[in-house]
Amino acid sequence: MGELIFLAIVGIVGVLCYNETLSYSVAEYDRTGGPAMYPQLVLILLFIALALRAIQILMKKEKPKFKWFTLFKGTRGVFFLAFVLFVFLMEPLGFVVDATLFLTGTSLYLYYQTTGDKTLGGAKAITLKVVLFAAFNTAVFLFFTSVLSVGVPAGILSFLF
Amino acid sequence: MAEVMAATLLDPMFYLFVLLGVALGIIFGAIPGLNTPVAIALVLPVTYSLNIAHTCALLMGVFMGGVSGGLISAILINIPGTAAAIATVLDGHPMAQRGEGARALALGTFVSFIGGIFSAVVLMLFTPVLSSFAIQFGPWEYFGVTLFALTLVITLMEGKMIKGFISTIIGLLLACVGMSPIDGTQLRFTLGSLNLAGGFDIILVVIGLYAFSEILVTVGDLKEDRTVVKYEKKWFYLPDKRDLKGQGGNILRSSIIGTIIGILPGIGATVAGMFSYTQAKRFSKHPEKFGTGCPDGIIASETANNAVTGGALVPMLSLSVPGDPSTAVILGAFMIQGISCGPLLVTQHLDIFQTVLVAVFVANIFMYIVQAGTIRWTAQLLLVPKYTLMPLIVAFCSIGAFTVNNRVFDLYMLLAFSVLGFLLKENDYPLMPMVLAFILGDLIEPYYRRSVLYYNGNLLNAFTEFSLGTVFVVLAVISPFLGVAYDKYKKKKRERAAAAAGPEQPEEAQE
Repeated sequence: MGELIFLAIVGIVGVLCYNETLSYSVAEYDRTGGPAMYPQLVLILLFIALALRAIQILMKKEKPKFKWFTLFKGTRGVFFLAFVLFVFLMEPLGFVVDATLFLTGTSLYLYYQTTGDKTLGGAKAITLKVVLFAAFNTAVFLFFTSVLSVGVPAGILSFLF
Repeated sequence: MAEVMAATLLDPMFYLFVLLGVALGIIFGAIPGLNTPVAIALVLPVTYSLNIAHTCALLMGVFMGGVSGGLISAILINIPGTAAAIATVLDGHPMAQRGEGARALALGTFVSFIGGIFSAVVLMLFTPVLSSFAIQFGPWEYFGVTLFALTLVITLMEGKMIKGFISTIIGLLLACVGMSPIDGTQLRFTLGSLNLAGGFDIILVVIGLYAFSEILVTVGDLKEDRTVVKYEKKWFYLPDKRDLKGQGGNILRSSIIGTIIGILPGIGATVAGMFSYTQAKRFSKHPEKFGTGCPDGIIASETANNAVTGGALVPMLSLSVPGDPSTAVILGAFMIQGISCGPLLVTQHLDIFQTVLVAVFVANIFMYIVQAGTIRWTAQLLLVPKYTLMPLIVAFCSIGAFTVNNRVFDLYMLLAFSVLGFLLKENDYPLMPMVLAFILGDLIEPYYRRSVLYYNGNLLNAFTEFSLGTVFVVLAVISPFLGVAYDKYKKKKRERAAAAAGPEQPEEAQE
């Protein structure tokens, strides 16, 4: 049932997209079919593919279980949440601070999950990690901004960089 | 042209980038859970500020190193670093267990180099031939070839053809987002956001769908119980002459298999390694030794999987159709650099083609030197804990994605692609066709619309006269049906074999 819901969602998105293509105008001089023709063709193929998969599922005696929420469970869920926070805090905090927090937090959490060591390696190891990650992120920041000449958010450290 | 070649060969930075690429590729290839497309995606942002020669050097280095690096973990920890090295495990690890790890590593590295060089020669000889043939192609022929490549990839998805079909279509739709090509007048599927006017950037799609989804899968199952089998430490691992004696046929056959499989889109190094291994066993005088630590097995697997590299570059360079996921990402990187692959690359931009060739040859040579000279340290990297490695890769890839357009919006897109990629991967939807379709989608629509123009607004006119494009389109349409028929035939054959084997051995027969 889960996969059928997934197929239905994809199908609804497809219908909405198809509906949008109906509003595309074609220039009089355009003899290539206009901007709508190709996506409409692709969407029709999508509907066929979805229908075929739905039939395939319905014909199976044992319905395959669709994994919707494994991303949000356990260790993976925490890691993903940290990743989301990392993305959303990138601009306000800046890359160096944001990435140092993300790397320290996730690596300590994953270390604990893997080894079960509640001390997280001890205060010395944690401090070393923070220092190393901060140094790594500063180096990456400087590499992108100075060597490759591309902008990276400096955030709260903008007075430094 | 000779000046360009000379300039490339005399540029020390060129060698430095090959070296960096090879080293990174070997590391990513060696560490299970990471792979070559992820490594290529990681260096994509760096290529922005590089010139074409340095970009080629870096990408080819990563590509050659990545495919080869998988053998280290396959032999030393019984886990293939990349799927391409699956067959290497079968004989490599038993050899390591009986104290011949160094011998297996040296042999695997050497034949990887031979396979890579063989396919590079084929690349050098075959690409101009295919290009001169393809120069006569019009948009309809290109449309046919590109469509055929996509359907071939779907057809080869044994057991999940429809899922591959859905995946491909989603990839094509993702490529439709943004300004329409040819007319350039219509914004499509942008939800009113100007941030999507230029469509999705290839880096976001590749990193999100391919790299991050893989990392999210790995993070959910972190096990640090790897133990490296003890092996003889050397400064440079040269193969034992005894292992190569009488192996000419095996090496040549495996090189040919790998190169041909590389040329065919969507099959890849994993199949090449396995197929070559089974063929080597079939032709061997002592097939019973395979799987017990037989050097012939390592030779077959490693020669073939590295021979795929040059083969996969042939259709990418001559037809703009990538042969495997890595070349799909490389094609995207070339697009970013403004390099248009296809027959004109050889005929009108020979300098770029020659630069790629030089990069491939140098990368293979460096791959051998670096791998054979650093195995003792690379093996230590296998023990680098993933709880540190995975967050580091995420942080580095994210900043790379951010620098595409210097906007946070791209990071949100990266997040969205990661979720989509993970959801599909978890539910056994293949991601490779989606990435391939996304990259080819940028080409296929203009070909399609120009074909419509060429045939006066009605593509049915294409079927009234003989054209190679029509042949490819027909092949594209019928190949999935042939695939289904072949799958059914194989299933029946398996069932017959199971019935013949009797009720006591059904599982074995099914295998």
